[in-house]
Amino acid sequence: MRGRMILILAGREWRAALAARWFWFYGGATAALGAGLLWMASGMIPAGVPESLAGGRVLMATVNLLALLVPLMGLTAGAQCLAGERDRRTLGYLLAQPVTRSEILLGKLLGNGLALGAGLGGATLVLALAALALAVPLPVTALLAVAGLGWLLALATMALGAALGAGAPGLVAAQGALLVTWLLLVLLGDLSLMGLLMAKQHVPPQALLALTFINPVHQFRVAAVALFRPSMEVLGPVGLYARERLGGALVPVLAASLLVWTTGAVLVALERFQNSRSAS
Amino acid sequence: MFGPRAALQDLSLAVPAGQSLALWGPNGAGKSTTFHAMLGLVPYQGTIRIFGEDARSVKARRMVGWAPQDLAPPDMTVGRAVRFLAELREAPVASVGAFLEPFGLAAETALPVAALSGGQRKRLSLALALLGDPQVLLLDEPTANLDPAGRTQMLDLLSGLRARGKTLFLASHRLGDVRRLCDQVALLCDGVVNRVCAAGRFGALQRRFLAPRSFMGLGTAVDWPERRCGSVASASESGLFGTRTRAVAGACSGGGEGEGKGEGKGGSSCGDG
Repeated sequence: MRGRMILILAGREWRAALAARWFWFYGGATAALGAGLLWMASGMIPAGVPESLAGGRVLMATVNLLALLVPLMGLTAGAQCLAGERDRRTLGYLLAQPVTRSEILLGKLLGNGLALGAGLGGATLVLALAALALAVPLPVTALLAVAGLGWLLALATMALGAALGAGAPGLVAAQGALLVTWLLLVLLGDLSLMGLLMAKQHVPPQALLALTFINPVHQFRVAAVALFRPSMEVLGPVGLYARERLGGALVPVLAASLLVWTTGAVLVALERFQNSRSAS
Repeated sequence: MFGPRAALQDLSLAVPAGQSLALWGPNGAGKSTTFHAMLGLVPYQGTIRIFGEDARSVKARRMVGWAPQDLAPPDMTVGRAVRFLAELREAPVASVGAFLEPFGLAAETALPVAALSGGQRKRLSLALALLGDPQVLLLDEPTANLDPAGRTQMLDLLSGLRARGKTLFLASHRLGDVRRLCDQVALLCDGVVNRVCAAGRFGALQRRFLAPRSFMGLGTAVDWPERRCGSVASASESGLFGTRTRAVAGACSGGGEGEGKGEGKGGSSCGDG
């Protein structure tokens, strides 16, 4: 595997992502919704809500917003990078060049991963500027940490999208699969659903903790919330249990777990791409 | 293979360096599939070697330039496409305009590939295939859908490549192109299972198997003379250019008996010559 080839392909993918409608739509939606949250929070302060609490609420809402939108961004980026080429009938031409399938896939993931990082970075910048303009005090360190964790979630879901797209016959099939996957990830990561499972179905917290490590969206949510609001109210019973078990190592462990998740999904994508029988 | 179906079977060819071979056959005969196999794009059983290298290796692909029948437009400008592919082939192009000049595309570098006309796209396809100066060129219907002037220009370009000692593989329906560019011809039969029907020098093939009028008069039914099948390895019923050709199955020496005369249905009963 040649790093130079991966970088060439990543450069092409980066430019393609920046020119793609989905990139601007999701990035713009994240920034606009975040700014909307800030605007609502700015209305709380004159009503007597302490500034720090208003900022914390915005951050918490931003975590929930990212938990919804980032997986959709990541899955879309990952699924279209191979299935889109296949749809446009350009994959065969690319495979006919002196590059390996691994180089193609890793180059595409690197380019898209960087584009996702740029999109999230841009949305974070808009959020910070909006907070300044509306005089809502956002904890900058926590905001940056949440954005960083959001990028790790984007990478994990992008790799999952690539695994879905690598074996899909075309973009439509890949998009169908990614929508189902997105719904599953978001629903299974829902904190209230987990609380309900514990209370009503007597599912032990260990099992729910295992569910946390299976679902990257939940990993992101628990890690992001644990950064600044380690309370039962927002962390949920499973998150609280995880915090009790792992203590201060919870966030690094969950961040590392997101990276492991990404690596595993990339390996699955590589395997599926290597074994896909036809290029076009 | 296309799913459980074999698109090609018993394909055996050896083309010396610097020679040119035409893959000749009706639509669906497997000409493009042969190219896809040579590029490692479709799975196959057996061996394909390009200058001794496995066709599926990166090293082999570096020696091959492919001009597909219909270049799917990448989402980029002509200039960007040239630079990108040149980087992939590790053959940087100093000036895209100068590189595209012989192909009449120097003024189109800023245009999206999708905005090019069919003829321009054909020329771009050839230009891209030549990046990195590959020794082998796979040309899939290079003159299809070109107007007479564009066709002449393309044939001149390809003749120049042939004169420079490139090994050419040409898939074409056009007899004039084949006659002008190729040393050898391999016939592919139509049908579920395709086989190489004949390979030999084109002139000899023409003299042996087809009345001269059959090359000119499309739609004429032609019976392949059974006693002149010296170089035919195996053959089956096939439709070329709207004509109906019938060939004997099984090799026989010149003037020998037509053995195992076959009128294979769907090309699946090619004889084992």
